Amino acid sequence: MLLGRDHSMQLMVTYLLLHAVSSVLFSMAIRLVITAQYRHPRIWLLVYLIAFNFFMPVIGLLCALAAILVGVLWPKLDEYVEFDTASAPRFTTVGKREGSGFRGNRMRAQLGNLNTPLDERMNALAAIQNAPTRSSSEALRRLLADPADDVRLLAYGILDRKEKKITQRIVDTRQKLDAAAEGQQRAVLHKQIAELYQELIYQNLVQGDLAIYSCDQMRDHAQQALLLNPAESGLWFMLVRLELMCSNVPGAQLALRHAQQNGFARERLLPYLAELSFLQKDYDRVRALFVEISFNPSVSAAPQLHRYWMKHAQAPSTAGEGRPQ
Amino acid sequence: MSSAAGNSSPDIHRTATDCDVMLLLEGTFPYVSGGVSSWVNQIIRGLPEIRFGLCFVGSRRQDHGQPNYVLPDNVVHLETHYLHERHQAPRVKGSRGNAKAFAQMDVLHQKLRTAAAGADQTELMDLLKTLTPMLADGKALDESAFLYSKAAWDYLTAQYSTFCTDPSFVDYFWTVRIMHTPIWTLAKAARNMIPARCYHSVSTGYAGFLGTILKMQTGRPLLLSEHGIYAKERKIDLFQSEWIQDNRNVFEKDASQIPYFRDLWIRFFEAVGRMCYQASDQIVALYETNRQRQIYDGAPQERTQNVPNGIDLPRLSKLRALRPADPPPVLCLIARVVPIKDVKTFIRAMRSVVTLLSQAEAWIAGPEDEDLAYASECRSIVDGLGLTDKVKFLGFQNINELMPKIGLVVLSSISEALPLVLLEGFAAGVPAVATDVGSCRQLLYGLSEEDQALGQAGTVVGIAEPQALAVAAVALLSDPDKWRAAQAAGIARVERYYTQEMMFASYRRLYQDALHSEQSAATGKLTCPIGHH
Repeated sequence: MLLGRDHSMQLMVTYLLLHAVSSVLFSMAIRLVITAQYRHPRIWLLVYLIAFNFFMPVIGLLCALAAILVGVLWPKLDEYVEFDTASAPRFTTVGKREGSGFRGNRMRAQLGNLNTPLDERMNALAAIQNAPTRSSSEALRRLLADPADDVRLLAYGILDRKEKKITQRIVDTRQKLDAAAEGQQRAVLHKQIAELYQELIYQNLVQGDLAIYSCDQMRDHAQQALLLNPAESGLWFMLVRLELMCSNVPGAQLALRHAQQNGFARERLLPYLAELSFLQKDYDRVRALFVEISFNPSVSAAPQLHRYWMKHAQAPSTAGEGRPQ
Repeated sequence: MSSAAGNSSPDIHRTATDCDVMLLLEGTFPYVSGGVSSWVNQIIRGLPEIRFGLCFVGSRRQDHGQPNYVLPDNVVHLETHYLHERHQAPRVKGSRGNAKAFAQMDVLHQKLRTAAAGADQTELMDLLKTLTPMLADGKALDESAFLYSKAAWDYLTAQYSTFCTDPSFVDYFWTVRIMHTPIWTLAKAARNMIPARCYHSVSTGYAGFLGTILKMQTGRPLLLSEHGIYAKERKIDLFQSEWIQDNRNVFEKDASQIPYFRDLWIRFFEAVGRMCYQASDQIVALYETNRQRQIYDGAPQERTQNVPNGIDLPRLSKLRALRPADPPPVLCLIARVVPIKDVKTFIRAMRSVVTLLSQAEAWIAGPEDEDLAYASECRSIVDGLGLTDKVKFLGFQNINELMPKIGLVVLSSISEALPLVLLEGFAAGVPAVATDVGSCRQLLYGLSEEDQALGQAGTVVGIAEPQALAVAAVALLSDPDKWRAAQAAGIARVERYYTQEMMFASYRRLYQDALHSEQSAATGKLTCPIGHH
């Protein structure tokens, strides 16, 4: 076509089009005879072969065939791997270590010391919010009068959140109680409410008039539960602790008697019996009970107390002298 | 994400091509009621000669329903922007990202991390000025580059390895994303905002950062007024928040160190606040303690000043004539029934007040719908303490009707700034007992020597001290001479220092200065420097 006399552009374009089509067909045919390991990446291989055939007619075809021969006779040594290479993992527990280890003891000092930078005091305060409330609530309450606004607000927020968590459960349980039918279910709900009030008191989250109110509520709900289920010795034990805390001697005496009658373990009641005897000023009985309490110095919460009473148990003295300070 | 509000209410729809002062409002006027919103409303109405634009920044559209205020006539424009709207997943297109731009951003972060408050931060602000235009769509640091580019990923992983003390990379990754994404929403809002002659943010935080971007972009004056201290309030919220993860195990944990992500959030808001302080031409606090706090947090001292709240004296002083001859034995807490007001302490105090002064009554005047559980707790305490006939929950009350009937304003709050209710009480002739928070001491006992010489307008007690509060209240109510002396001191103080006219005059001067400096800086017609659409 190109060797003829007609040199028109249309002829040229027609030739190039036909040549392109033949290049594509040749390339596709060559691709079929290429060994599997050289077939990837497909698109780029095809583009390469088309370009070879299009720009170097005949020679390109020969070169491609020669390349295939080379590929078959002297194959690529490294075989195709299905997995990519990744750098070896490093053993890192945490990117960066923080602080200098155990500094818990410093926190109390930081909180109380007004010369400590505010940020450090705030950090210390944030840290003690995870500490048991019973031990931290007093410190938090003291901080309510702190000169730094941030400290006051955070201390209040922590106390309020802890109190709110329990009071919200009380509100929810009360609603369930209102909707509950008579019988065992009500007894369970009364018990739950009494336990929640006990938690508020135990965690030192209520003070003054509100503490008295909480004690009244706890007593009331425990008694309601006992009316429905009088043999529940655990509830009688709860009342023992409450009445002793309120220094209500007759109430504690009654609750202790019921707890014993309903099978509550005497060993667990002994410290409370001792406390009751102490409130009744019956110090000889306190000593006798301390003798009865099996004493293990490694687990005793008050070894000094135990030692004191045991020492005086050997040599009986008058009631006034036996009183611990 | 952003739109001009108003299709729901005819009162709220305002659009204009420019305005004098653009107020930048985060979670406040006109959609949320409260102290700051009332103040914004008061300022706009008090300066009718100024054409205000409002830019409301909120969390999500569904969190803010109908507006709570009718817009004054001099509000010419309102637009709303929501930072945490959920969107459908976009078509993600990965890119390499501009490593050079990320390196510049790294320098900014280094400066934020190391620069102490109070130090010269010119370099920091120059850098911010360079980076701000790069936040636009299609530029080197656009949102897509932050979210999907390889450079962002490399930067993020490097930062995690270098600084993060929490073992979870996944939590780190999402924390950083969620924390920074609002920046692009704000940058877009700034680009599309109508031209204003000056900008006025009523807090730092996101609104303050929008002000910072606008200042960087337009060079126009930025005024900052803070009622509370935003960074401090955020910090206290974050210290207590339970949604922030702490993945450290027992061996990795140092009990005295706060969890990394909590710290990261706190530092974010501190940094944003510091940039806003640096960008602001004038920084206003309500009272001296807050001004000192602003300086501590990075505000240049020479740009700070106090402008206290003011009240409508002529209206309130008329109420004095309606008062009975002797003070009624009524203690009134005028506040929303929410934990921060510590209503429980007020109720507990009433137990002792009633014992000491049997005819005393307590009124709690304020809406209860914000925290229903707390309100119900308060009511059950009233029942439990046997005060049902002594403590009355009145709901929202009109001050004009309430003031003549009460003997004492009581504020048992855990936190306050400059409580208007004390000033309103003084103007109406009612002294107060308040906890030692915010500016209460300044309001009751006076600030300067001259102010202190006016006398004590009541008593300041410690927070969460019901017994002290009760004793102070009874001492005032049972001694008419002492009560009258406190009343006279309150009236004198509010007339001398806390009138609305004084506050308007201060803001009129601040705006005039800003508008004047803008005029001298700008030449020709007022046009948006980046061609908004």
